This record gives sequence, structure tokens and C-alpha cells, in this order.
Amino acid sequence: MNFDYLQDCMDATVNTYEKMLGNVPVVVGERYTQTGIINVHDVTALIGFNGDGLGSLLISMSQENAMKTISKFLYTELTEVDDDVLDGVEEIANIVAGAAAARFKFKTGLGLPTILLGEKQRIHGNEDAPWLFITMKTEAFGEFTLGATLKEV
Amino acid sequence: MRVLLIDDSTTMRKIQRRALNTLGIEDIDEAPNGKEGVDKLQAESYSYNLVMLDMNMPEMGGLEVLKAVRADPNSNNIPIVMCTSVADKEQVMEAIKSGASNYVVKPFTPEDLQKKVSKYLS
Ligand SMILES: [Mg+2]
Repeated sequence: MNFDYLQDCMDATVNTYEKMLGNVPVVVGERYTQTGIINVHDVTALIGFNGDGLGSLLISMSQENAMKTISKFLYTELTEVDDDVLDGVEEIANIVAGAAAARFKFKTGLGLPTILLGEKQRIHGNEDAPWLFITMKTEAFGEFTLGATLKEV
Repeated sequence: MRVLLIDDSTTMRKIQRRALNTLGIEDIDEAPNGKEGVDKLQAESYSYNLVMLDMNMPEMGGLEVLKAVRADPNSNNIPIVMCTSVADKEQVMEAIKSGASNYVVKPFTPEDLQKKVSKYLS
């Protein structure tokens, strides 16, 4: 992959958080690549890319950070991880993926988002489609992980 | 002023509802997918002044809903504002051609949304 699709996803994330949540996330540490079994946080939204770019994007965070984030999104105080919180995280992933796909250098569409919920969730990354990850954070909602895998078909 | 929100995300419907409330619009119905949205329009005798329509939905997507609504003489005059993600660029072009009144691109601020719909308020 000779273009920086993770950067596109990061730009899309910053834009989405700024407009819809009123908070600009910053990068924490270095980006990293993973294959094989990959640990994710308790609340993970996954969405597929299709078209000329094939892959997936994920946004993963702790339950506590998910509640904080979606409380702001909905202007209500959410104190448990319920349908509202999960739908909210799902929609954030949907918007980020849409904004990222529009930045990709080849025509990419979106699938429908889905949520993984629970402790000690893991995903599997294929050797020929490694995941790129970056940790980001906002003052208000804490840390979250942004990940993406993409290849041109 | 009566508005129908068609979006598969409860979050998006809540955010849109809130933005419309700020403009003084309280009479708002919701549908969680395109199919139910079309049914709702019919069941309520097309009595909406505005439809907010999500593009990416299961069951029946936004474009399909738009075309169905425009093909029906009972509803072909109702303003429809499409709610799209940035990746839907080509679909937006098709939506405009198919009779969408306007569109708002996610991510948007409440003010962005209010600006897009304010001209249909009266
Ligand atoms: Mg949708």
C-alpha cells in the first residue's frame, strides 16, 4: 500500500470529533502495525470498506470512555452501556469511515457498521491485510484506538 | 411544521431532533429504515413539510426511498433533505438528479443542519 490510508482515517476522525462532539482528538504515541490475534477494548465498532478499496475500519474504547463520548453526542448523561451508547459509537465509526473513504485515492464505499461488546475482545488480522493502529485521545472522553486495514483490488 | 426523520441510527435521529427542536420544530416523527419511512408517509397522508432522509440504510436505502417518494404524485412536492456521508458523493449527484431538495454531509454541526433546513420552515 503506497498511500497513507491511516492518515486519511485520522484526518476523518479529527474532523468528525470536532464537528459532532466539539472536541479535537490528538495522537498518543506512535502508530503500529499488527497481524494475527489483536486485542481491542470493550466497545469496538467495525465497518467494512468496499469498492476499489477493500478493508475495514475500527474504533475501539473502554466502556467508560464510550459512555462519556456518547453522553456528549446526545447531550444526556449516560451511565450504562445501553443501546444508545452502542448505536452512538457505531454511528461515529460510520461517519468517520465515510469521511475517510472520500479521502482515499480510489473509489471506496461503505458497509454497515457493527459493534463488538465485552471484555477481552480480540480480532484477527490476516498476514496479507495487516491492521494499522493509532491511539488518540481527547481531554473530555479519554483514549480510543483507531485502526484500519485497506488494500486496492 | 411537521418533519419526518428517516435514519437507521437512533443517535442520528436524536441529534437531528435536537437540532430541529432548537428551531422551534416539535412535531417530528421517526422511521428506522427506508421501508418504514415510506409506510409512515403514506399512513400520515403525506402531511409532512420536510423529510430528512439518510442515504446509507438497510432494508431500503435513501436513494430508493427518494425515487419512490418522487414517483408518487401525493408526495412529489415534499422537500427532502438527504443526510449523507462524504463517501456518498456519486449518490448525492444521483439524488439531486432524482429530486432531492438539498443535502447535509456528515459530519455536521447542529448549525450546519439548521442552515440546510431553515429555508423549508414556514
Ligand atoms: Mg445510516
